[in-house]
Amino acid sequence: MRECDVCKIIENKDSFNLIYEDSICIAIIHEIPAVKGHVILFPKEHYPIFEEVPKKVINHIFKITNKISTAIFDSMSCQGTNIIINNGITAGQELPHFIINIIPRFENDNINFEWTPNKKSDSELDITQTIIKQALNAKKEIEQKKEITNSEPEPIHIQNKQPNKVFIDQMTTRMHRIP
Amino acid sequence: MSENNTTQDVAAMQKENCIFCKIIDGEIPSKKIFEDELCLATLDINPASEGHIILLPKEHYHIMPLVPDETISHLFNIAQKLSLTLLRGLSMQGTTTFIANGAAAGQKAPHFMIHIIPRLENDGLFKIPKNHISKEDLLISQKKIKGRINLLFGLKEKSENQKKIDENNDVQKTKIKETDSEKTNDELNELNNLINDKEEKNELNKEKKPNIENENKEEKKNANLDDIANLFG
Repeated sequence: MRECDVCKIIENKDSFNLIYEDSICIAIIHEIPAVKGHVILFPKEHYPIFEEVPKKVINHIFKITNKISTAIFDSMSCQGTNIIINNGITAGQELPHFIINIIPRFENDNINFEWTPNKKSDSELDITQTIIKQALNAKKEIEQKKEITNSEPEPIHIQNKQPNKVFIDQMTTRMHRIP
Repeated sequence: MSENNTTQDVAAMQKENCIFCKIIDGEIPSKKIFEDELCLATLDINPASEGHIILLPKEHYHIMPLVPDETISHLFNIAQKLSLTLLRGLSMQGTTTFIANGAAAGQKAPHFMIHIIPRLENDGLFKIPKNHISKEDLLISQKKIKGRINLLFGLKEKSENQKKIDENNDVQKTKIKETDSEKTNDELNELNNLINDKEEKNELNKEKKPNIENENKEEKKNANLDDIANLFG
């Protein structure tokens, strides 16, 4: 079977502090939390990175994220919540399984997710905008081509992987290298 | 009525003064990346890193719990595409999707938004602290949150189990269909042999029951499941 610590959590879910489960996803209390009430939510199927998660699972899991976030807000009497998806090794993703962190926030909790703004000039922003838009349009074209060649509707079953893309493969192999 | 009016007034006032609603209306210029009928993505003018995108619902919701389910699903589908675009367009190795709900969480404007931030190695952002806490504390958190979740979803433990069994049956049905179209003649012969072998069949039937109760096992043991599913067919 797969060497994934998160998949192992699902196999031994009873030994963890389970808070929510359905056929697609599962949520537990983080064992080493940022703060009390830190919840992690993840799909049961093994998807190493955000980009690999199919639309059906995305649609479902973020509704659940919102509900869990609300539940944490109500039950932990916190002043806010953060939802964080660290995606990729450089982003600090530690396990090769797509995970959503839901962290209750209190005033003076010594957690700092703030960033120092790197103020950019208008022309710098323009360049970035152009690059991203180009990439977005390129992606659209690829998708349209796929739609033409792939006239069959995508099966709903969650085990179906999204079409392989070279760089997704590269990222995936990188993720698998994590001990 | 008067209370309703005041909350509506407050909401209207908030909307009127909301910078992001003005960006959406085009009153304030922005570096738009993507737009559809539900949402708008623009570059953050105070980016954490190059390519930092904010994704906004066009409707004014000041916190995430107020956003309807359909909008949430749509927004995160777009967020996923934008994250992919950042990885590809800026040749990044990672992104962070970040949401702040409430001022204590770092929310700065009363308009719900999703940050999609390209990540560089050792940029020191979004380090989630790790604190070792006692098992009792974990249990307390679990009890509190789970209780609230069950209330929110209108769940009772038993009905949840029943739901799981139903869902599993559905999963099995779809699997039967899939395997039917995929299996080769060799596999068919093999399965026929299996069916003829009574002992094997009984064993597999015994395995079937725990699998329905424990869906993880079922999902992990694909080979076994396929065999069982085909026996049903």
